Amino acid sequence: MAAGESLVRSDAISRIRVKRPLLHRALDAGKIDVGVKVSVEIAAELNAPKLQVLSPKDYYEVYLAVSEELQIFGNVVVASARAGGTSVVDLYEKVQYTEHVTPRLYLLITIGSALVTTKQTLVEEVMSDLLTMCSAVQNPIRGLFLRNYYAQCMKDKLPDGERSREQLERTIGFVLENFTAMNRLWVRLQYDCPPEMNKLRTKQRRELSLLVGSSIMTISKLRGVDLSLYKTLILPQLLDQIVSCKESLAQEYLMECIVQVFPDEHHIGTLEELLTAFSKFEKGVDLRLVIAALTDRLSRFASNSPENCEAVRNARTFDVFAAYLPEVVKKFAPFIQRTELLRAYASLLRLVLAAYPDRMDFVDQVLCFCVTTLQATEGSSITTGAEDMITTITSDEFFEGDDGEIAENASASTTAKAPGSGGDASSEAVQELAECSAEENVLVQVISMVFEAHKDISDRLKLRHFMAFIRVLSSPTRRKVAAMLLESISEYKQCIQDETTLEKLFVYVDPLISDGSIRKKQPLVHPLLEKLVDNGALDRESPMTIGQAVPREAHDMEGPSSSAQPSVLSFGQTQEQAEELEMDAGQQQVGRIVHLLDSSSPERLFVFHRMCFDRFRKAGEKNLRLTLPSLVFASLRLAFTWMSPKALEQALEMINCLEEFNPEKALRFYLETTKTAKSIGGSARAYILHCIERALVVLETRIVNSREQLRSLTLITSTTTAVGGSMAAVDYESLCQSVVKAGSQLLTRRDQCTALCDATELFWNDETGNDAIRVVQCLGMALDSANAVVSGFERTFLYCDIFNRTTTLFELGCNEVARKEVGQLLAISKNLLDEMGPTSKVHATRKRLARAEKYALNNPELCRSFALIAPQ
Amino acid sequence: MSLLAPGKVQYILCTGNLCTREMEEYLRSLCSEVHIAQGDMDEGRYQELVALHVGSVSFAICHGHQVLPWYDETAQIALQRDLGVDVLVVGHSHKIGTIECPGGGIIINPGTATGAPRVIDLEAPKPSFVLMDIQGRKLVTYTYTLENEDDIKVDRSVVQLR
Repeated sequence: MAAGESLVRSDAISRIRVKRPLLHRALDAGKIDVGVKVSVEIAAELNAPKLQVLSPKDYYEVYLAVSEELQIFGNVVVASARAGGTSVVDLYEKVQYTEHVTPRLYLLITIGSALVTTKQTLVEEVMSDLLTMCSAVQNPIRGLFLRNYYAQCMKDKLPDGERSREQLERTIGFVLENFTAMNRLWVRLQYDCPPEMNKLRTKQRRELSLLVGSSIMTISKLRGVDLSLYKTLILPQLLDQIVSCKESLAQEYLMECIVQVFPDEHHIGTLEELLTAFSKFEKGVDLRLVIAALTDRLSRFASNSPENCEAVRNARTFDVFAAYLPEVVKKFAPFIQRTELLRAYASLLRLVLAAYPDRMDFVDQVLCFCVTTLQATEGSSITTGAEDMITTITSDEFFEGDDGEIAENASASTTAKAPGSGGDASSEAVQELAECSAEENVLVQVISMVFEAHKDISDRLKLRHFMAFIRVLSSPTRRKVAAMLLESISEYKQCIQDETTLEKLFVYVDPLISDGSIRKKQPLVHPLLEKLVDNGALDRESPMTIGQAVPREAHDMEGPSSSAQPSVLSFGQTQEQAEELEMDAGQQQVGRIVHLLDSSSPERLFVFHRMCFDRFRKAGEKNLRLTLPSLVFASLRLAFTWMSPKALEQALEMINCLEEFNPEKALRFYLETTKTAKSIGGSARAYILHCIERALVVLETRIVNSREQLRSLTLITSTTTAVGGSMAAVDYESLCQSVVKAGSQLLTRRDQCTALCDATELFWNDETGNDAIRVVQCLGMALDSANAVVSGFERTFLYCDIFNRTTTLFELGCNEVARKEVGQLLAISKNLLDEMGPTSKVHATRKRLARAEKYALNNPELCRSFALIAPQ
Repeated sequence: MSLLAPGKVQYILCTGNLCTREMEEYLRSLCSEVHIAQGDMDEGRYQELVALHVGSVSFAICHGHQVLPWYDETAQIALQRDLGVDVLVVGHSHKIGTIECPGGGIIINPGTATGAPRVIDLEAPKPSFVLMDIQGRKLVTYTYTLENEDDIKVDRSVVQLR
């Protein structure tokens, strides 16, 4: 068939080509009559019954060949008329007698065009006359091309500019009339074929769309077409035809044409008309495409200059969209994927952000539209069955005015049945899951755009529908969005000035704050996922393939099949580790809320801290490990700057909470509190002793890692020294005993030695004074521990530590420590090393010893006290 | 700060207390050789003492809270001597400074990169860091201190190691 078609086409074209010399010869010889005859024969090719098998595209090629020859003929006629040889009027009359209608009309248009060119008659008369005659051809393809020929011949001869308005209107009338007729033929083409060819026809029609669209372009290029003419005459007729043709391809394409070819100002002035037309479109129309065409165009326009932006705003553009778009979307909802509906709103949002950078309320309205769309359509597939605690918190109390509608809708959605219940529809479920993730992606895109444009968190908190918006998301996405609200803040400005705002922030980022508690207490399982697993469509242990679509709660599922083997992701991280990290990052994000609190009033900041503490604690104690540290630090800082024991007390309460879940941090914060209490002085001094004691208790009862024990004890030692002067001597003494005791009770001899070396500081410092006897005692205990170490190598190492520590103490003025016994450690160490093999460690230690010795030898006093003998 | 663009420096030596993985990741985005010592507030993630060589110059990094007495020059010099390194990098005090050790080598305290105050600092310290250009055994040290909003003070000093 295809081969047959191309044969028919090439035959027709070659017949035309054969006639070309005949035509040229006749014309060269001035035989116009013969020219007419040959031209009629050429044009008749377009009427040949054989051509009916041709596709529109092939017919177009024949049409091109014909129109080329006819143009030449037309040009000769014009030239001849100008030379006074031919009467075009007579010719026009003559060709009326051509037998067949199609060639007759092509000839008439050709000569009619020459008539206009030679100004022998009024354009309008010719146009009107020809237009009437064109309706004689009702075959869609033939008619469409004939009218295209008419449009092409006339488009550069249309009266515009200098003519009167009435004339201009009449001209537009002709073009519109032709456009209307063309569109009808174009639409009819779709219905003129058997149903099985429907798809092919649509494709073919797409190829012809430019023929119809060019009329719209012709009108847009007419000079003198102003907004009022456009609004009152052109657009109504265009829209009337587009709507009444009731055909989706025509509606979609022509609407896009209108949006593209007419100036922005015209669109701004006729938004209501356009949107009304949208609402009357057929269900097959790609709604998102036409809406995005319009909004994107206006967004670009608004971004171009402040004047343009002002023009968009003055026309109340958003109000018009807000008034019409939801209705349009509602109408289309049953036929279009929700993702597409949401995308339509996303493009509206782009316009809002471009033209209304200051209107958070408009942004909010778009969010509301998105939510309403999801709720209005059946089976909210995103919402996980288990609506968790955040639904119990309503955001509405923070806003004045009544807006209970959304909240009601939101709770209605929670009862929405799980989608696709029953049946073995696992592939359907997979698809649905993918769709719901596509929807979520659009929603995340929407909110990212908002956050990108509005970096200030106080602006973000103005979004009244934020809660309703995140409620339609799945739990993991909710957390993600809540984290985004906090994280994309370019700088942590202190933007929270009152308690209501802080409460509101808590509500907004609740999915994040309550993160861990939800995970641990009641593992949420996506209903779809559960089904997939049941159907065997997803292996619980296999790495996730659907990515975002699969909520990570899935991994909390305990079952006989899920063994201890963790599922492994790339980068050598297990899924669990990756989740853990992500969760930690989220919690640290929560911790940063502290930096948003306005610190200008200490009283208020104090209250803010209390609120944060209460909220974090309510969210589950496990997360306090990550959320509390920054709050504790801020509270201590407040206590210090405000010189307030009350604030110190509050900080202590927090640290107390931290003991169980993060004892290392709690211990350190106790020590920080000690130093803070010392700096505050007054009644706060009572906390100095208390906090060090608490630190010792934490060390003793909660810190199990031996390395960590040593680390903590070192900090306790130095802190005790630093604050020792601010407590009663008896308290200090008792603390010193506890610290030394803790040091001598550490797990390994090595750690004992290190801790006891450190402990010498307790007895030799500027803060509490110097007690050489205790220093010597302490060093003696350190030496005892070192002597008890089994490994010779380790022992040398510790001897060197002791020697060095002694040297430093000597330099700090404690002459009593430098004794012969310590000096001998060097020689003992050297002997020990000599017994060992020549490993690099031994070599390094030997060099270390040499450094220590060399330094001591250079100091005569040290040399004497240590009884060292300089090598000769 | 153009210096803090990826690929500008070859090594980053950090005295710890980053406290978040995010911050570490940021440093690692700047260059591949990132060496971090354990700060008193870090959760056991790093080594207490980090030693490395850059060319022919030996370095050690230590947060500094383990060096008793705190902030004491004698103790820090003793540590540098004990380790036998050319350059000891210590922090803890949040105060930028350099000590030339009598026995050779130097101790560098880069201060605080974020300007975070210690609890008991009346005023937040000025954010600072140290940039070092190593030419054989010659160290050219630039200290950057953010005096005000945009006012960065840069001091240059040269140390010829033995």
